[in-house]
Amino acid sequence: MGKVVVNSAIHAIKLRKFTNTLLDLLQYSMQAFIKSIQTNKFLIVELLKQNLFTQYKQSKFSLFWILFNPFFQIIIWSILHYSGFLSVGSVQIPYLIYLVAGMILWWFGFNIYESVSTIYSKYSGIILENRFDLSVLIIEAILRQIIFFVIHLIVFILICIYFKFHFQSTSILYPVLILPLIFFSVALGLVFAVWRILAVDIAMIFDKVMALLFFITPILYKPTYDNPYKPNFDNSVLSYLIRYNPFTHLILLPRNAIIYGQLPMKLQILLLFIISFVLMYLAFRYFHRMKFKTIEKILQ
Amino acid sequence: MNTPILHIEALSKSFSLLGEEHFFQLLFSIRKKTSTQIAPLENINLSVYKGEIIGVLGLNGSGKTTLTRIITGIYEQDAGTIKIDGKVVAIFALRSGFNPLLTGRENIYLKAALFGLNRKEIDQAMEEIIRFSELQEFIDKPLGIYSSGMKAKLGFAILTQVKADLFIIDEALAVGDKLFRQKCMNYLIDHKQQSSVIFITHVHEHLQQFADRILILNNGTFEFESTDYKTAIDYYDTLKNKLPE
Repeated sequence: MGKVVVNSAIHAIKLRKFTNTLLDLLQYSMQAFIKSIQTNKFLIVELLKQNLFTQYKQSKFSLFWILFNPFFQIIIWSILHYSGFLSVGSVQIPYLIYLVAGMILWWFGFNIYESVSTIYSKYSGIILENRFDLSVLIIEAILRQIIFFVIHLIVFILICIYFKFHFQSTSILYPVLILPLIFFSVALGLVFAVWRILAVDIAMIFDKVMALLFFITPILYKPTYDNPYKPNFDNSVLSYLIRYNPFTHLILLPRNAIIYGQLPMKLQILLLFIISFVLMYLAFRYFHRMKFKTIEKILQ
Repeated sequence: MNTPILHIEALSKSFSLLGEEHFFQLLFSIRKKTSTQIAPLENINLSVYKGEIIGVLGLNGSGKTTLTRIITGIYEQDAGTIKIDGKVVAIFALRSGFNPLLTGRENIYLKAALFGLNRKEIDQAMEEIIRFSELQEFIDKPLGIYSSGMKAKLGFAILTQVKADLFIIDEALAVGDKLFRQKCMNYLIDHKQQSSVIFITHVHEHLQQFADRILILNNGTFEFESTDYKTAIDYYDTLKNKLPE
């Protein structure tokens, strides 16, 4: 009995030591990250301005293209739905609201992944000729996508107003509930930023997987009413894929909160936050560990 | 001239080619020698003191750019030590880092930010940058319409406002008109007490008037060093003559 108690105590001490080391490491990394933002804030702003204003600088309808490009898909899916080609199940609210609420979150996550994962190829010239903290490029990519997301969110709100849709009280949690989606997308982007240089084929395959993930995330169709994470069709393989697709949980968490007022169990929310944050943290470590090797291979 | 701004000891660097490494070595940065490795630098030793202008001459492929990238921390060395006492700024090409869709003025903000300047510092230096570049008429026009020489002028003018203890100029003054090149060199000579210079080039005419010391880099090692321009150039010419036609 006494031996068991001693063993448990030793395990508890080891666990506490491990947790403390992890927290110290996390705190140190976060402090370094925040310091990097403070030191480089002007460079971040300049890169952000450059990317935002030059993307459509040669176009006369720049704002229109920012809106039209993503919403083009919405128009197509809406036409398919309203003409009866696409059966989505009962969504209980206007389908357009249902669709846009999910689509803007998907684009947000996908665009963060894409813009973070392409920083080495996009900025290869600057990276090879200037010494600066590469976190600057990651932060700029995330901020740029947040700006686009806010524009899309405004359009979503305007659509809701047009349909006289009443937001649920849980909508107030929306800015917090999108954080796991940001963390997870950044984590994916950081890993594939490295692999896009070192393992091009894997990165290209994953781009196709991302396109597939869109269809196995309940954005176009509705999961069953009794279980929001189970789709309304009977195909065990597909149901399995949808259920274990991380984007299902990351997108449904904020979307269901804003349109249905539904929140999963506190433990599930907590797990989403912890897992996505730890993944982002590990991806940051991996990205920085691989920095020199990746830069060396840019020109090969 | 006692404490070096830059002190390099026994520095070596090798590259393994992409595709030569095992998949997991590659993706998890496990360093292991592969069958075919390129060794651009081997046993490099160099000290640069305050107020010095050093010329590094090397034929194409001798390891000049790799050396610059290692000193500035863009690449990591395999062996050896680098001690830097102060701020080091490297310039590879005066025209790089610009966005052709932005105006000259907007590009000044962008490039100066890359050199570590903040908005206030750039605002204060803006008029001087424009004056030095001699591009007053074009400064609010898109950079896309600038010639290579004009971009180089703008690039160097921004550099004059960067406070650095050591500039490494890697083939950066190869473009632009002769008069402006002379203006740049005069600037470097006039400011050498504030900022030492390593001038890396394969064209020795640039070094004649202002290098205190010339080092010849060949096959990744410093083969020759001299304070006498003529002796160094004779050695360099011998190397050039050995090249196959």
